[in-house]
Amino acid sequence: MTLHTRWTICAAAALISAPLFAPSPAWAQGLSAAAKSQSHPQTAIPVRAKPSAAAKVGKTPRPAPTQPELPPRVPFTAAEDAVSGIPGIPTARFWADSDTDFRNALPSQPGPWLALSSGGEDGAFGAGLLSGLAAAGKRPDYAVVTGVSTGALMAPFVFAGRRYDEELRKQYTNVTAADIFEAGKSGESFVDSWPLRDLIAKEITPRLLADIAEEHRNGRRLFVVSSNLDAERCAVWNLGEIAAHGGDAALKLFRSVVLASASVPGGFPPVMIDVEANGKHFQEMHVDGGVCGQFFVAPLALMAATSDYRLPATQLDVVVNTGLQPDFKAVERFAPSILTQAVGMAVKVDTRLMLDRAYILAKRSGVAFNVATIPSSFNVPSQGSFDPKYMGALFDTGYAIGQSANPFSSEPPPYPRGPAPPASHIEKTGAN
Amino acid sequence: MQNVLLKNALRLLFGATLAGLLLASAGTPSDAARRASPVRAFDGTWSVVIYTEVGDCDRSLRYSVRIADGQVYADQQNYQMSGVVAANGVIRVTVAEGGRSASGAGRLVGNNGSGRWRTSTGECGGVWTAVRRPSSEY
Repeated sequence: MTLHTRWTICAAAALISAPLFAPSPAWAQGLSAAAKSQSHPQTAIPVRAKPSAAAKVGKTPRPAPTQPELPPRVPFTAAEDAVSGIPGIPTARFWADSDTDFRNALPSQPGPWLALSSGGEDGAFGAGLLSGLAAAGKRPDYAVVTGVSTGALMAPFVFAGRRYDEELRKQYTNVTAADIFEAGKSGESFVDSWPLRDLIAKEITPRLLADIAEEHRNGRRLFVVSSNLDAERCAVWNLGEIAAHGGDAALKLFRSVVLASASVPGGFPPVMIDVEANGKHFQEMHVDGGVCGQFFVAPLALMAATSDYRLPATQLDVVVNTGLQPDFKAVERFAPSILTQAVGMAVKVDTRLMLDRAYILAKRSGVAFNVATIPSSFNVPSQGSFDPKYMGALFDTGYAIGQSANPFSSEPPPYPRGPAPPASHIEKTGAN
Repeated sequence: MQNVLLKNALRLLFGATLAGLLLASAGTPSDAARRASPVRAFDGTWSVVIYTEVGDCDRSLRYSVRIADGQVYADQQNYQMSGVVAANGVIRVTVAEGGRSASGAGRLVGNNGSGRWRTSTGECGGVWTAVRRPSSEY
């Protein structure tokens, strides 16, 4: 195995394990180049790679397996993408930076809102919490449910009601890494997500869509976010609208959108969405909604401290499916290790800042703010990615919190701090 | 959770070698095997899942492996993998990497396969399954 291979596989594991991958420009360029040439200098490590055993002993190397060619993309312009839409379902989505479209998509009456964050396998926490809430009779029929990444995977089930809680539990306690991804693909991603695609197809049934459509017609709203890489803009998908449209095309789009929202860029392949603009058909490239923020409440401009926008809600519940505390580790001087730690750190910082924005918006709107986060006391080890025992323990932790007297905090948690220095250090330095 | 990611990544790295061993024959094919007519009954793209039953390795991981003319390749150009599949589908494999090694044995039947694997030190072991799949779709 070459060092390049080692890097690739480790990076894949890192990306999939990370709740969100927010690629640095340099790394993203490296990935793009790697798709064209395995020896691109951005990957760095191949420079150090030793020749293969076959090359060293002069044996004729076996022919390399051929990779399927990616089809060329239909060219399109920013102007075309700006007005693009889903054929037959023009109200399927709106830009997340469009205040007007956002307002128009909201329910006519205020009600409780729920925002479900990114978090990968740690989505087991949110699934457990919401199941616990329901079991305790404290989960309202949220007027608006939003989901990002793993939050998008669970949002349809939460939105559709308690009868889907068992499906929700199974999704987060019975799956393994083999149900989510397959290593071995190169080009546009480190791993292939066909297992997750198949899992989504199995779970997102016509019956579920029909139930979501009924709730949509009752005035409730279900939104998930994906990141349009071509446009560098965020898309909000009105899943209730898609479900209400009905038919095979709507079912396919619904599943694709959920997959896109959970497709960590670089780790998973992007999801290509068929769109149309002025009679021209092309595909947009969509990836994990977490690139646009770890959870979604409203367009960022409306959440800004300088905005006077008021959220038309009665309460805002935010479920954060990731730990916010720093995890110390002496980072190995190895690209995947550095990438993993950096991504994890960025996600925590972004999540915490987003919580402040949501809190400020709720306070300004006179709306009760509630947030649930994975307790820092949770320390069950994970035996690899998507370890069902780890996820089961996290689900149970969330479930217990959901059933407790105070499942939510009314304020964002304190900003994380590093561990306190030992007493001897304080005595020597006078630090306090 | 982040502090376990690297550990997970390294496990996945080792898992890749295990995936290789599952569908690769024992090291370099013998001369007899080279002279024999290629076995094409198992050609195609296979999805291999390894399950850990013993030891502190990933509980499960899935890999794509390709078989062409009875020879085994990882479905990624970066992998260094070699091996053949016998006409009766029986496979016995070993893989070494970074001072570690593992061995496996099993059989492919039609579009399915299964067997067992273990590391040379006995640190980890378990079972594997394989399913032949259509080529990647884009």
